[in-house]
Amino acid sequence: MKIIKTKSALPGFGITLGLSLTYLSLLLLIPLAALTLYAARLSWGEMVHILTDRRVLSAFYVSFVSAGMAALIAGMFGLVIAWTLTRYRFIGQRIIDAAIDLPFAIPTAVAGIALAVMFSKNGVLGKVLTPLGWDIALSKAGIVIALIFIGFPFVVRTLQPVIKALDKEVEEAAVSLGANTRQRLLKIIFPAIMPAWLTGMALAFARGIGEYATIIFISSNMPFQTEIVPLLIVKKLLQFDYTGAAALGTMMLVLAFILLFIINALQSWMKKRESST
Amino acid sequence: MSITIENVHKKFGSFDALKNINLTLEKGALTALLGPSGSGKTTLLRIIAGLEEPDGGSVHFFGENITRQPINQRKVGFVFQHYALFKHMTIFDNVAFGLNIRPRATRPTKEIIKEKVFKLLSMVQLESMAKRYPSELSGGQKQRVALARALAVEPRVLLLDEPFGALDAKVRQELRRWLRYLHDETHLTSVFVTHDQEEALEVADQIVILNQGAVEQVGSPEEVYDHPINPFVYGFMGHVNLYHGRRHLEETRASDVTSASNHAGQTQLFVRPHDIELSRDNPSGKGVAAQVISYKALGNRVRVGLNAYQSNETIEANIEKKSWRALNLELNDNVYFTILDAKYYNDENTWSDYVI
Amino acid sequence: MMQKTSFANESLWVKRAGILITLGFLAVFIVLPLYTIFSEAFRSGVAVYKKAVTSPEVLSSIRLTLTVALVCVPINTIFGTLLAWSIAKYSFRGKKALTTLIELPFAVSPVIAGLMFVLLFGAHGGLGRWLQSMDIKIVFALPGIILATTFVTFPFIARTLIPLMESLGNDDEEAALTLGASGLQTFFKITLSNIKWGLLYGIILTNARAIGEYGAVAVVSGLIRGETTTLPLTIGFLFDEYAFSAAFAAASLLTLLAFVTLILKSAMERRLKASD
Repeated sequence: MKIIKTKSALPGFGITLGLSLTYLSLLLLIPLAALTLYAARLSWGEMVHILTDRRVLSAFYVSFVSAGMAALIAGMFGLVIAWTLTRYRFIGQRIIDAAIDLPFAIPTAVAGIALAVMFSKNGVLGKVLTPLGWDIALSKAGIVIALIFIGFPFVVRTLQPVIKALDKEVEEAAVSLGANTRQRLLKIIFPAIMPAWLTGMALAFARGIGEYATIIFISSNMPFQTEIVPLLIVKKLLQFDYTGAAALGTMMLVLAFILLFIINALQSWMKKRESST
Repeated sequence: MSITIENVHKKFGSFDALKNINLTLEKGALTALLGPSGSGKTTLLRIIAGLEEPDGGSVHFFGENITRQPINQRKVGFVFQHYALFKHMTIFDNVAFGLNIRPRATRPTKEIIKEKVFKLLSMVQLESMAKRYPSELSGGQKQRVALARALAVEPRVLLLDEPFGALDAKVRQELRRWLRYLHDETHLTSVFVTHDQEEALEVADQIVILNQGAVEQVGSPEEVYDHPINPFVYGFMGHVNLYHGRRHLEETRASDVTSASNHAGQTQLFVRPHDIELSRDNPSGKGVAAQVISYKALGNRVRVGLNAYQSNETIEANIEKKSWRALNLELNDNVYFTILDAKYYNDENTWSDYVI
Repeated sequence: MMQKTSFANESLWVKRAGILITLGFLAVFIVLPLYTIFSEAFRSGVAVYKKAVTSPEVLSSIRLTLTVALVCVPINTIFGTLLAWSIAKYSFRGKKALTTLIELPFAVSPVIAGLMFVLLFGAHGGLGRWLQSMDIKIVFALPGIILATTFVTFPFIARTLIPLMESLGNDDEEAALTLGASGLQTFFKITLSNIKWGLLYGIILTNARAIGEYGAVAVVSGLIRGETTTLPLTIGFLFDEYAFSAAFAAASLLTLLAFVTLILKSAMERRLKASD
């Protein structure tokens, strides 16, 4: 009875929802419609022509591969960091925990130029890596590095509460029942954190696909090599090719919706896991 | 009659929370809405308060139809199960809230508010806590503050939603008595929701028993306890033994319990455990032979599990410790039990399953 | 017993490896970038740094950035709170879809956000031509920058407040109403103090993003240097022309702001946890 209690007693439903929807329409829906309507003027053939252009295809390839690789690497490190920060106590932990959010707090352009210089020939890390033959700045690796920076906090922050909620007694019970470390990891811990881990990586991937400012400073932005989709859109706009930009933009928008849908599904999976434990 | 409810019904989705409720609550009485969870008792209380809107029907306060009146104009005092004290305000400010927010024209002066708040705080014995914050109070104290806060606006009716539900047994006991005392002082028309029949019997003047969104019985505590209208109410008001027995027109004899199970006219008997007497012999001939299969002392009474030999039915008796000692029984001993009072209901329609 | 011990031993080993990897990763991705920013900023000395951060270009872009934040943070605070209230306090059809829609600005690329406003208000479209005839400039001007920034920062407040309001429930508000409070009194005297830390948390995040946004602003401002360059854009321009010291000097200001944001953010988080 109390679970399905409606929340109708509070006054102001009409006015608050009305104002909210008006605001959302003005700020979100109308611009969204402007983009899709602009792209809708294109015929199917024109749309296909724009999207199958070799430069466009290679930009999508670069964006996807680098965002995917970055999400995986951020996933690996994010898992270790989240585990370490939740399970162990050590000096400076609180500061380190707060520092995880730096990529959220620091402007992307600032991070972009910092990473670019850091990995350049004269930078702190570039100085060491370039003689070894690792040219990170201006290469595809640079894009991946930038996206790892942007993406890893998503993985850490999604995993932390789930790891915290892991029942240590269940693990101990498994061990007392004779499970070895590998079994404990594979059968107890991994299934419990899997949904959150995937969610974190999906968030990192979604953010990586759309990221612009962090990348453009570290990448050489060369067509067919290190040119990402958002950059191509900006270039098209600067050349007043609004149709091309709108077509690419709509494609990205569709992609964003698909990712949003996947992330939502992952999150509800995550919630189900939480409530069943 | 101060609160009248006419044909009120309410659905949550496809679930009938309340089905056509008609009810009149006496002026100045303390009424308990009693029922198991899901019976609609809280929904009914929230509809009276205006926190929920009925799908149909009307609610009247003192003859005035207030069904469409917004909550903040109803002048109801509402006490929440989890207190709902304002965390960021002191106890004083919590109690004064309803007065402080009034428009200037009707707001009492600061002095009057202060005097009034302290009067209420002294009534709930919390004057010394005026400057504290809710987080510094115990559960029972919080509930008393919630009550004082509700009374500060001089409500027409006082509504309490499971007021003692979140408290531990001892505090609960104290607060119950105290609520009764308070009501005797103020005579404010009050309604409280509970799922605890003991609480309702102890505190209320009038009990409304709800089940599955409908009113089963309305009456004084004695009425509903001594004359439960149907098996549901019987079962809900206390522990019950069910056995098969045979009904005679004039009386129900305990001996039938064992002898009649295969006869026509068989019926189900409802017997309270404390309406059973035990004896070692059977001088009146009304006793039924049984074996002691368990016993457990609970305070000054003893709960005895019996198995009737002939019908092989299990029966629970609840007798005074004194008589138990006098009987000097052990497990597996033979004993005779006599039923002092039993009820039967043979209308299939009024039958309702109730699991204690 | 044996197994328990091996469990503990393995833990110690895992712990050391975990801490090592964590520190190593964060050294590369947090410490070194910060070191780079400040060492580059002060590479040519304090005097050059001072000159760089007080140059007319940097100062005017700071002014513009603050103007943008001053407009868009209050707007999003008000509407984000309204939206959170209407979603958390009532149940209605389409609530779930609405909750998902809120996340959209985070899901699309900031470049797309900018693009949408360019297409909506740009001179090539009907609306744009009409605006031009009325002499109203939106794209490549301050209003466009504000709109795009408001768009990308919109979700912060609502997504912080919705779960908070839902976990708090409606009891306090209902109690206030039964005591005779009006809807507005209930909100300002009860709800607002219950959610204040969450609201501040959302405001801090909104502000940080509003000041630091690059992609969306770059697109709506048309990457024209001059009147419509916010501080992040100026940093980009300076960097592109190899004025590293100046670029990093300006960047160091935003980095300091990021520190303040982080400190406030973790303070708010502790407050939120404590009030649970």
